[in-house]
Amino acid sequence: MEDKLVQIQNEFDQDIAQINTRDTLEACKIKFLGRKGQLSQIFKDLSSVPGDKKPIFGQKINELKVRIQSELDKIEKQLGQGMDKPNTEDTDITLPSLKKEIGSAHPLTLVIDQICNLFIEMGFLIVEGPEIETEYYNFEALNIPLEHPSREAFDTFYLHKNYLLRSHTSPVQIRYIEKNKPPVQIIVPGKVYRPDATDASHSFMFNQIEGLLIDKGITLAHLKGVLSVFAKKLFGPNTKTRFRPHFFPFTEPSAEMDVSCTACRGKGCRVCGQNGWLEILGAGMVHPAVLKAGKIDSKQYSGFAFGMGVERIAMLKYGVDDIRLFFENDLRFIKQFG
Amino acid sequence: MKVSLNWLKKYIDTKIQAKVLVDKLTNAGLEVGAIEQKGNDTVFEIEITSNRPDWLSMLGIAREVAALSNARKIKLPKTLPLKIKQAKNKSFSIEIKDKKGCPRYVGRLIKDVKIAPSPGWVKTSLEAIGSRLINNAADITNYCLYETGQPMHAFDFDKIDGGKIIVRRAKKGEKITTIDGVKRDLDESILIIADSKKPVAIAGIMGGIDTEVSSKTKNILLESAYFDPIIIRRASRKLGLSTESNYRFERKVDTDNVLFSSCRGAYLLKKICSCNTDDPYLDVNYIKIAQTKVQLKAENVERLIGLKVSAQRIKGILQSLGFTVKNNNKNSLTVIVPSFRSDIKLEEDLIEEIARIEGYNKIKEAMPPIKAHLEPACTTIYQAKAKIRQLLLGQGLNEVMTYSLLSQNSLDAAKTDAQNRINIQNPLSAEQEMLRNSFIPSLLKVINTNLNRRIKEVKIFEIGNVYTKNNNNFNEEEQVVIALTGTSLNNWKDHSRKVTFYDLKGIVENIIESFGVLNYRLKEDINACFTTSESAVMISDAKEIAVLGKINKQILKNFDITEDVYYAQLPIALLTKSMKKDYKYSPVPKYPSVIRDIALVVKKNISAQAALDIIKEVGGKLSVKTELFDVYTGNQVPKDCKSLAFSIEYQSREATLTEEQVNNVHDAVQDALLSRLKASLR
Repeated sequence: MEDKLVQIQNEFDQDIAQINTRDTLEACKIKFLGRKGQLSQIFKDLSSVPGDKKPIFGQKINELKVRIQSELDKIEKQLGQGMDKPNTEDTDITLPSLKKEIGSAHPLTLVIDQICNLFIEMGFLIVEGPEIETEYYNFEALNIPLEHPSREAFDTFYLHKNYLLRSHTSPVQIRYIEKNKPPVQIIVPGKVYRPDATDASHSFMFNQIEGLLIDKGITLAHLKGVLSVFAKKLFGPNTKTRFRPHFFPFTEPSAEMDVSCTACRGKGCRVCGQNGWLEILGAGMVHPAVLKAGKIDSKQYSGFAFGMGVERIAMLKYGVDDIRLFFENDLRFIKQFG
Repeated sequence: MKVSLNWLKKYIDTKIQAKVLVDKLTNAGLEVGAIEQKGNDTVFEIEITSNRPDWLSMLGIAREVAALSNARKIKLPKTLPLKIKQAKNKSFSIEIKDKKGCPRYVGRLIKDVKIAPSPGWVKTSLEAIGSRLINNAADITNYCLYETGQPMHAFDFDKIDGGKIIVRRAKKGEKITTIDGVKRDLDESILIIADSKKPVAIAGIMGGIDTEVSSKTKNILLESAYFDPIIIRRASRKLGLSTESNYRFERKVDTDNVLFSSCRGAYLLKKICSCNTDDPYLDVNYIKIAQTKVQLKAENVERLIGLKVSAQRIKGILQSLGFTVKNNNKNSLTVIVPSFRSDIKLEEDLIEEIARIEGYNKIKEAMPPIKAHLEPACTTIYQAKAKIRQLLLGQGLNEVMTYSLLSQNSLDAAKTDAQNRINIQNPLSAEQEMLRNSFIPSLLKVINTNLNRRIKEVKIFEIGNVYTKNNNNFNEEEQVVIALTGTSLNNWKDHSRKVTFYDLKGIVENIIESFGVLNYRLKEDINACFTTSESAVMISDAKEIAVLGKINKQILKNFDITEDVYYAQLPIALLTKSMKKDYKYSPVPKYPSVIRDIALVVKKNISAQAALDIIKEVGGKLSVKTELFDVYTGNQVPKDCKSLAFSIEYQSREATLTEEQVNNVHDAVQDALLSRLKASLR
């Protein structure tokens, strides 16, 4: 009996040194004080002790019980105050945290989101459209005639008969104005496809963002205003813009917008081919034939449209020098963004 | 196109500095790329848009420079007389069999030529723009092409059988060896120039080697013609042959220019090859294109470009560009379009010309009036995608973007459905031959790339389309897809462990619960892509809202991956359909709850779901929450059994539950579990 008591006491002393959480505390309580615990076991054994020694051992067992109880209470109190370990000196606050790492958004998503949000701030709505398109929406309705050299800029993957993978996001212009009357003010992000040989600056799949604004009294001055604000929001308030005449079958007049080089601020460098300007987007006043496809009277309404390549802008903004990096998805690349 | 400044100065008297000219041209839509200094000459590379074939010539560019430098006229180069009496010409004949394919053909015979190298000034001009020198006769046709924009061809007349030029479609089986030495098969779609026996040139594209001008040539037949753009374009594509000549025909040459250029060419040949040009030319099948007249109102210029331009100024600009302008009244003009401007059809086209010459930089920027939209700034689908993206990023997944086009091999390697794939008819490489009908090959490639680069933990997602066909109906479905591989927990405190099915399941649950879908169940499923034991679909309202599982070993082997990969896909449209429109408050429970634990020993094939269903059914409204807190297999239970321990929370909305009430319901739950699952208590 005597030995047994000493053994319990030693075991308890060992165990409490290990207690550092509520769970281990609870386990210890059960082990010593529980219904089937060591103390209730030894109380049962008391019956086999000779009668005269019963009170002595009874008292000793009770003393041990009280001691165990108070030690455990003390630890419970410490744990209750938020200390996982009684001994606070073991916490090394410089050990790495146990945070769950947060993922990174794809850089192209970041740019798409940023651009779309800039236009939302100017009152545009985000609209999307299908990637599998027809000749009509991809070409005819956009005033791009069959077998015309103007189609060369839009080399296209064909699927079956007149089905194709859209080579630009402009078909969404038509789909939208077929169903919505002016005023129209939309921004359209999406993937487009062109059979281009892949190299550092070409990809057979890429992302475009298209914009369309149609209302009464819209002029080329508004096109310039909106797109210059956009360029300043995207590349910084000191960004200069330049509009040059260009040709697109679905706009007339048409323009390309250059921004002052993001690398040299217009002084001329390798990025801008020494001329200080970077071409960013194509734009123009919506061609009457396109308005007609949406049954909009071009005598009453006018509008402008624009389109830009997301990858090009992302490359300029982030200094990425190879378009293929976006689709290779090396996590060491992706984790540098968002 | 390359443009030499010295060459330009032959037609326009200007002292303009190269740098100033470059800016002016660029701002007028003739974007100057590379600038090269060649001796005392400056050569520009100008990007010519496909609507302006008239700019594919020095004269066209000179006309533009004139308009940009305050409307000075250009000097036209010298030619032989344009108007002659069409005397009967007996020495040769021209027959146009395809009248639509060739609406004008001017041929003239030039006798007694002396073929030699070109004189210095021709050489200098052609070398400046990088055109290869051949001999004086061939060089003159090239010189004219660059000067006037009209492609021409010189035949060795003595090799033309029967002295007869026939413009017709080729016959199937006919062949020609072109001057580049390549023997080419012809067919009915190709327009050719033939003599009485054989093809002598592919119309508008390249001449034949048999009738090519050589050092022995005595007499030349000089061709200047208009060929149909579409016929030429198709032939060029079919033959895989593209030249400076067909480039211009495809974009439409100027029918009026056909004769002018012939007379210019003859003039130069006479001057250089000391030949006899007395023979009259033949101008055959000249189908005049109707003049285009466009009405233009001055106020419409301002209406479209936001810049006020006076009618007087408008008139001046258009005249300097070669248009004929008549006043209807002070502010209304009738504009007659010159034959070299086939791109001008509408008032808007003219307005662009005015804006171009005035300069877009004169137009002051303005903001359109603000509109308040009732509809949200983005569609439900777009919002859903943004929400899913944030949720997954927050759970440590990285976003990827992969190609929608793949090789058949990679789709086969991932065992995707072989019936519903969509082929690309004109892929450039095998890597683009099909649209993906599953993201599995795309994501496995990303995993392979990263594992090969010793990145141990690859947790990725993508939002994008898969494409399928049903007969010939095409369908694209937007999905969010997730792939996990490698370690799940990796820090100094907890034990590192590999990702499991339950990690994936948790992520999927988080997505669908965030859309307010709570009544879902996971069902075992058979899927060729997954291992049989870990393949499931998530069902809600009888619809499959997610597919998830462990990619099977064979597929992983096909992609050279040795780690386990867990994959899930969720169609986005279905999620948004069940999306909660708004939140609705329900009172927080007022009365305390009681928690009772129960540990069951059941056969291994009994699912946790079966037990949870019984607890829910028997516990009824009072069992508000059940947590499974332990699963055990091992020595303490029989070999074919496992232990499941649940913690059940009982609570009433009406009153505090009495001990007896809790006992009653818990006993009933326990009895049901034991009897229905043939379980015992542990």
